[in-house]
Amino acid sequence: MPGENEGMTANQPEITDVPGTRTRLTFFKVMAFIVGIGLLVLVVEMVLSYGFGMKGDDNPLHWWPQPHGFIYMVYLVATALLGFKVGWTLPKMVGVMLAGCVPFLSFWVERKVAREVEAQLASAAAGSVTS
Amino acid sequence: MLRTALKPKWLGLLVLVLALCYGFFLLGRWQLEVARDSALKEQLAQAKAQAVVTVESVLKPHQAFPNELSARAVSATGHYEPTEQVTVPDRRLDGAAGYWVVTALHTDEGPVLPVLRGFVTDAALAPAPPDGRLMVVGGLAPGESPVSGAALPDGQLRSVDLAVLVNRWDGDLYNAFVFAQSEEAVTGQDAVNLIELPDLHGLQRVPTPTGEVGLNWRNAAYAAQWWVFALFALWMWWRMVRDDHRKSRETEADDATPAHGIRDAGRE
Repeated sequence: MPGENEGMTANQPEITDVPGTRTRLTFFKVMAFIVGIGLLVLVVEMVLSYGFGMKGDDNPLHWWPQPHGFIYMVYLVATALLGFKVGWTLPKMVGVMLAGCVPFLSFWVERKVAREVEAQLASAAAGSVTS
Repeated sequence: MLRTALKPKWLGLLVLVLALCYGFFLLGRWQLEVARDSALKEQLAQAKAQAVVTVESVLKPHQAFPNELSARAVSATGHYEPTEQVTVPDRRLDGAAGYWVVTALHTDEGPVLPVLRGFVTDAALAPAPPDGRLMVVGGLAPGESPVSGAALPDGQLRSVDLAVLVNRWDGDLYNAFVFAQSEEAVTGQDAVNLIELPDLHGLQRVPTPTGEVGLNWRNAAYAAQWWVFALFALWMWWRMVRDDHRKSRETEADDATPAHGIRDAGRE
């Protein structure tokens, strides 16, 4: 039914692979949560390092930035996988990726994104019922 | 696929992605340098933390070289023997090829300590050692293994081979040599009045080798991360081109059925 899809497709392409999208959304949500927490740990590390001058081994969290970098990379992959699946534009994808670098913003973006994709999934499910 | 990739939009983005990759590559290389630097600094700091000791307090003549004395800062006081000087060819310093100049230092205590006084680009330029009593400070190193090769001109040695020097030079030899970092003239009986020798006569000091310089693994991992980011950017670009390619093929297929054609045109 092309007429029904008209309003949706203007900015949100329809989802064809519902289970695949769900898996990717879950992966993204998990990664966004981990990166969000990791980022707060990183902030504490930086405060200790630059604020209190605890350099090197004096800093109880000095080992954290390095694994956090790798976790952030996994977050990027999770974002890209979801973004490509649900048809995000490049600016949006990059925006969501960068949100993973801003403390607390990642939690908010994760919720916003998840709600959006859930809506798309719901309408995709509804669409498959009506057609 | 290639035709899709060559669309101005994707080509432009590719240029952007490549620029980004280059930036990430440079950042990664910078981190790698930091990794080397900080590892080197740690080693040097450790070496410096140890105070300079006199060579006779840590080593006896003919005693086997203990590994933990590598690069140890030592001092020795005595006088150079101008006739006991060799040059060692095929050495490099700061990218230049040249010779090491090694001279026998007859210490006040008696034993002879080979001192690597410096580096010259031409064996003929090796200056005579300074006269008089002086104190040498530098990093200790074990003697080198013999190196075979064609016969060399007189006064040249293929390596700092102490087994050869012990036969050529008078006196008891230490099983070590020193990478001289400073030579100071000693006036009077005690080593209190030291005067830094003003002129090296073309010699360049050779830094004490610190052995294998490792990497600081934290910074090396940052370097790797930047490079992975670069690869990731390329992958993103490829994925977008592929998606576009698939979409345009779908559109072509849909064009056959007019009803869907309208929808897809609206999506673009």
